[in-house]
Amino acid sequence: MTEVRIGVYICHCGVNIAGKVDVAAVRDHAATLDQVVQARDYKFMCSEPGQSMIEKDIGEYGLTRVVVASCSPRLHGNTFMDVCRRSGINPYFFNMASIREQVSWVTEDPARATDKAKTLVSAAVTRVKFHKPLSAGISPVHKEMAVIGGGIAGMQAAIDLGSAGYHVYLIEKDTTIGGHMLQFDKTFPTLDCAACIGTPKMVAVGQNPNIELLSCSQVTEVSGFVGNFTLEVERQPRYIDESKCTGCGECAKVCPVSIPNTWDLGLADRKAIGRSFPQAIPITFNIEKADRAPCTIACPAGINVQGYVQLIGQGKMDAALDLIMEKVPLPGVLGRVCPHPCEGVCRRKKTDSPVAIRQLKRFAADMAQDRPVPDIQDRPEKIAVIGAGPAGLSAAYYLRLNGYGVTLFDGASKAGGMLRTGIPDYRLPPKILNQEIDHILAHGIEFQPDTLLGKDLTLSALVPDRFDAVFLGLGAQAPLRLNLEGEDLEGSMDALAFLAAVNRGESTGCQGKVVVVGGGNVALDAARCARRIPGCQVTVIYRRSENEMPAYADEIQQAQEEGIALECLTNPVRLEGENGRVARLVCSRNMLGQPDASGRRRPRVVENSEFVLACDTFIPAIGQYPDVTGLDSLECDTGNRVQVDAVSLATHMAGVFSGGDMVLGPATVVEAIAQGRQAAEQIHGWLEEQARAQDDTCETMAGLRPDPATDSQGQAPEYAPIPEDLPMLERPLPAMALPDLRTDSFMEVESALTREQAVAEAGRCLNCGICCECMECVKACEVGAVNHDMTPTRRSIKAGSIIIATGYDTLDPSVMPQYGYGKYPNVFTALEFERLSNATGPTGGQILMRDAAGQFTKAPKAVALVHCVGSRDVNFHEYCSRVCCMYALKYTHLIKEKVGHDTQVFDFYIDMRCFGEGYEEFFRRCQEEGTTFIRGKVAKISDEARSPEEEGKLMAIAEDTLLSKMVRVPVDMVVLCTAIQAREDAADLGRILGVNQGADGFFLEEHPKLGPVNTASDGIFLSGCCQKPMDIPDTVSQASGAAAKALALAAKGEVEISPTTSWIDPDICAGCKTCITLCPYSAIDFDERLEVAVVNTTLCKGCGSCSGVCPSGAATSRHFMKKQVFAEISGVLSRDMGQTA
Amino acid sequence: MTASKTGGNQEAKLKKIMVDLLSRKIVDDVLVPMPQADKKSVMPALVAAMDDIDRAVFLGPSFLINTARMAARISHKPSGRKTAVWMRPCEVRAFKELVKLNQASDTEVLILSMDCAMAPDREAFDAYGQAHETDTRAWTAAVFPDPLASALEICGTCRACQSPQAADADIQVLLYGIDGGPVIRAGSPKGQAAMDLMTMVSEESPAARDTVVTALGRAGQEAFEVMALDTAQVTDSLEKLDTFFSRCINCYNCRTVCPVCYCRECVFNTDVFEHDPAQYHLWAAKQGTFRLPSDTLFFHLTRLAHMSHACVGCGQCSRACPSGIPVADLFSTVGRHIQKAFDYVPGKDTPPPFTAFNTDEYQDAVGIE
Amino acid sequence: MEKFEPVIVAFVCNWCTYTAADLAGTSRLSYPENIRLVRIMCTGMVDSQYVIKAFLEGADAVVVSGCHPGDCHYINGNYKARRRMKLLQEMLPLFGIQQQRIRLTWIGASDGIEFAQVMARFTDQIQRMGPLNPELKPEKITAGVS
Repeated sequence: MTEVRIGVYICHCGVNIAGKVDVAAVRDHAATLDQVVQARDYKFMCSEPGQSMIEKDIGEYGLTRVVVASCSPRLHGNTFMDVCRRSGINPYFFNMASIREQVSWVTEDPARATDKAKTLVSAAVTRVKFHKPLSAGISPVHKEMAVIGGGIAGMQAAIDLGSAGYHVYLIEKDTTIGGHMLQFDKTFPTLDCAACIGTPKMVAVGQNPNIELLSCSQVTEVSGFVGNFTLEVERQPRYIDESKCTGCGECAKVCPVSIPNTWDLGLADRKAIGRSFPQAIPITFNIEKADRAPCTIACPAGINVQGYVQLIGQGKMDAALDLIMEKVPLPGVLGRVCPHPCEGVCRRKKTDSPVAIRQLKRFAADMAQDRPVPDIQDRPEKIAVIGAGPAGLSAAYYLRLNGYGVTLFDGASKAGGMLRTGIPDYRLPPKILNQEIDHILAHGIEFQPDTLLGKDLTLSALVPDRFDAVFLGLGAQAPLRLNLEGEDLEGSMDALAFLAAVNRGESTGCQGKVVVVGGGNVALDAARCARRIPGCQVTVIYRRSENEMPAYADEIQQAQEEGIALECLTNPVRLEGENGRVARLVCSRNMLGQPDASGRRRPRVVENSEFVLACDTFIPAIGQYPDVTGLDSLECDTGNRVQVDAVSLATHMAGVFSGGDMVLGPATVVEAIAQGRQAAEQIHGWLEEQARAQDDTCETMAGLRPDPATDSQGQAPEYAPIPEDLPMLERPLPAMALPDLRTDSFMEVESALTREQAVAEAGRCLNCGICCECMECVKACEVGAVNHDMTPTRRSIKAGSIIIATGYDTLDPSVMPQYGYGKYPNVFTALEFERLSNATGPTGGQILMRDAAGQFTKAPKAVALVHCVGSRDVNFHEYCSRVCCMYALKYTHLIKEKVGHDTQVFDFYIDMRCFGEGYEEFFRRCQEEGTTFIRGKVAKISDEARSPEEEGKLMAIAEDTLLSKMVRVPVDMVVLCTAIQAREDAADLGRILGVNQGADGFFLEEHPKLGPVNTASDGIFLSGCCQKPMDIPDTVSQASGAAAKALALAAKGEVEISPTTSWIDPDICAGCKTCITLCPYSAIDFDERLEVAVVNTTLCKGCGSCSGVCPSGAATSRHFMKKQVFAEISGVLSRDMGQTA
Repeated sequence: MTASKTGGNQEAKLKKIMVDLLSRKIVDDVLVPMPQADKKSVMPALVAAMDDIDRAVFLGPSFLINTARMAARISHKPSGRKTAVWMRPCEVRAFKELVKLNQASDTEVLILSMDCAMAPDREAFDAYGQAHETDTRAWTAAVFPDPLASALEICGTCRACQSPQAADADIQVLLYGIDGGPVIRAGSPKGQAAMDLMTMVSEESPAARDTVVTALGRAGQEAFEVMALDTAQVTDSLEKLDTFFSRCINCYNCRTVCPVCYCRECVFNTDVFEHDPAQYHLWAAKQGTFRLPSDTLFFHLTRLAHMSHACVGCGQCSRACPSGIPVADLFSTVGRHIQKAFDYVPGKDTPPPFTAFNTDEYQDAVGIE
Repeated sequence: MEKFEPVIVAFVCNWCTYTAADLAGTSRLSYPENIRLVRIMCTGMVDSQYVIKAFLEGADAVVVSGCHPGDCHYINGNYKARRRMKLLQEMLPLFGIQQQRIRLTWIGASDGIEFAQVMARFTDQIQRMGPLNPELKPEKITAGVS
């Protein structure tokens, strides 16, 4: 190694250092240090003469090491390394002592400051002796570049880069580029309209072949280093194909869902399918979706509830019905008898009451005119469906729609199963049932009545010879018996048989005092039917209390209205007869004990509580179970339920599927229908030999997000927010036949909603899922651009450099209650005012205020502008937002111009900051236009009037600090000049990019003066308000500055990779692999042959996590080697400073 | 029963196992203690010839080297040959530490270990050697079945050992609390498999043994606490530590024999600590006095920082110190303290503390009141 | 007698705490001159030998300071540093170097004020604790490299 000859240079930095530190003393001390051959001090070492002084010495005295004691190496380290390079010394033979930032600026006592300076100098000198020459590696620069954020800064940067011929990715998280500037109306001080100068920029971006615009996109991960970055970009779906959408807007016309337009800050609405503003780039529309609406999730059949409710709201009854019939073929039936779990979860109930969804479904079904039968492409396969109840009918229907030849068998003469025999006509008129069944059969389904399984046909005979597959939906028809003494007496009849007879219009022998046993719907139906037989008085006995009754509340209520007696907590004990016929029922009382498995409290008999009920007719209705005759060898459980695969619904017999009550046990109609369809799809899949592992009831319907309740993260679903000012609205009650009229006929009790009621009711829907997936947009779009199935996409892009242009947020003034934002309708934020004044805004550019109804109707007569809301305020942001004074001036002008010069404008300022080109002139102009400028910060906005002229006004209360007196200024409208603040997600992005935030939250530049567009990470640059508040001209010039930096990199084509990476000495490494496990960049490999770890320098970033842990010191970080750091430690600890002069 | 009978029994049974392992081709060779030329000392040797097994000495007092290092040497790279290695419990612990650090591999190694026969200090060992050469009977008769009852000089480190019983080995030879021949236990599927091939039945640890083991553990703990206290007395300040190591001659023997000091080249032997002659004179001039050899405390503190978490308390460092500094007392004292702090037990298969980290740990290490 | 002036070595990472120190400087926030900064790229680079060396050469206290958890410029260097400091905080007290003299802190790039305050507080603490090994002449126990 060449002889060590050190030159030491002490900088005065004007008085910055010399003012505190005795530089001469430090110089003399340095001169005494071993191997120092030259020590000098100078006023400004970084200046040209300073630098050439060093260069000269290197030549003259043959220096081989240079130490400069001045500012921070982060500021001028490179400057002096270049000096060395120029003079033929390896730049890493340079070392720096920071005696300004670390000494003169932070130490009070000059003597001590001087001592510390000496110490730091000796430390630097000691260390530099052990420096090793290093040469930077060279790595190519990717020609592509990435710009994050599509506001004016991002657009400008992208245009500059693109027009220089480089490929640019412009990554914008919103649906359009433009940013805040395009929300503005005019721009100060020239008053050209933001759109007029902004939209051309947007178009330029859109049309520049070198700019690849990634909208709805966010960067999720960044790896690599300067010149070689890799960005992971996640793109949210628009649900509209950018390449097809022409922006014609037909879709928005038919979209039933309106939501507040965030672009207009919620001052106006847009459709769920729409775009921020007409000039958006890309022009492509987008669809706003939240999570799947709770009603839809709750529906056992998975009907798109929100969808058809919205269509009904639009009066599109046929469309609504089609949507319903995608999932259930019996809408009219369900519209009457469905237990509507959807209403149970309706979020509207938080405000008033759930939307009357079942009623709406019935309305759609009843209103729909003749239902057309689609053309069906026939397939060769034949399928037998056995049982024409709800499950069978729906299975047959959906199989047929798929083109299969379907034969529907039933033991009865008419299709319908339980729907026909089990549900009385006054709840489900036969007309409706027939209508819907006829429609189903009309699709070309062959119906074979009076054919009983086991009697007229056998399973084994059906498959595989006659049919390719069989669906069994025989329901649960066999009644449970009470096994009471005397149950076989005449006058005792099972409820199902009774209902069937009634429905068939046959005589039942039901007479006199009727006692029905049970608390379910069947029991209630039986009771209400009996009540309709002349001369019958009916009592229902139930072993638990009324609360535990499984029957629907409305049925119980209607039964009681009809004069049916309820005997709860009552047990039948035995029947006593007279001459072979039932006469009395002996009962006992129950009390409720502990809850049982079903969670209902188990009844316990009360000791000797027997009593007698007169009873001519006894109707037990305590439940049913599937009748399994004729099922050959099909496996059933103890409850006779057929065993099937939960997903495929396949029985163990190949080609035989089953569903409905037969599988579920007695359940609801909607569940049976759901399983019918599930089976149809599974059979279809099975026949097509497709995987059938998808859960039907939760199957993702077109475009629907996966059911949040079932998704893996298990986080709470995201729904459209419920507006605070949501008005309470009545849920319509359908007309009911009067009880006494009901009881002597079987006519339908409940009538349908009126059209007006239905439409109004649909209007109460909150559109929890935002887009309701009614698919009207799909129909409306001629080019077929709408695709509800889109999902987020990820891609990784390479970039040589990255420009951050993510802009700013504005402070939400509701945190300052004194200004009444959110409380007084006519207190606005600056951005809201921009929209009000903007031609594409909610008022078409008229400056209007809200009337009592919250509509923008009348113009203000007096307006107050409040500066520094959250800026220059220690409670919020200490900094000045730099643009408010000027845009406030702009407002004064716009108000005068648009509303009229007689409009009073009061501008409350603290200081007017009009520093830019033409700004001061603009200030004068506005003063001349008659605005009243009041120097003083508004303390409070109040609406309490103290005099007649204050009535109905907002009072701006402030101290006029020029007159030093309090003022109360009555105005109609207040505009708050809210502070510019760092983006909410700045911290996250900073982490992803490895860019620090300043104390104020904005991204930290490399140096406040000399590196305003650089960051501490090479190759990542800043532009616009993500760095600090700035106006449009500054933003644009900084954007071009950042672009220039990026271009410089690309133009050079290669970057020096810092040589301060790690190195592992193979002669010392013991191969313990510890460094490999700890390396954050997986930059260390293991050489199996030599059994040593090897650093991959292109991946290594020189963090030294290997050298920090390696016990033998085999792993070293270049320029931070043990010997060098030891030297520095000894240096800072050396105490013999001598006496300070 | 007489000492000779028992002693003979034990050695004989162990020899038979080794021969079986070789004859049934379960392993290709065995690493066992063999007598040295002086007929007193015993050192590990890799034996392939069955006839030579007869000379092996399994349960003697001789403990001149930690076999783990030798076992590492013959296993750290795949050789395609299987070896059975006979090790004391502390040697097994050391070996497992080396496996974690990729310095050794147990894939081709069958580990046999025993209820430790303990070791005497230098003088006592020489005395025993004079009297009995490599005949272990007198020693084993005294140590087994209960070392606590032993009249012999068992060295301080062994007395302070809390886990001298067979553990963590594939095949374990149980001797404590058992009269007559040893009980053999399989300690792993691998060991079980080997025993099956030798048609040996794995036996459970008798209750009597467990009592002794517990007693040993307790006695070890007590002895350790006394030792730790005495050590603290003479090392609880840098001045005292400086005094403690006054006679250190920087021979680095302690490091050389340390089974867990695994570096191929110690940092103190690298150019980091190699200086230009002029440098020394400069220091002298600067400081007035410059001690040579230098960096004594720096060396020992660094070694403590690097390996005390893995110290298995075998005591070799003390035995190896030419200046008779009780190095092991200091290292095992600090070792146990660090192991407690990081809840780390050498020999168990948790990753060494400094090869991992959690994002939410040791908050107490951060901040200034 | 005059006030005891400790010497405190601060190993600070280039990205956070060193930047904070510069900020403290440019903001003219004074703090005791007893603090001697040693810049390293990342706290994960701090070898336990550095801390031991500093004490053997006469430092009265050592502080290692880096980025806040999650903010490490090198992803997780500060977590590794924390384990190493924990070790030293357990080990060195056995030799009379109290835990209060061996500290680790997180000071972010923008925390100039906090930097000055923490350093002042730390110095004051060590001042009150008094010198470490007053009798022990550093040069007697180790080779300096100065």
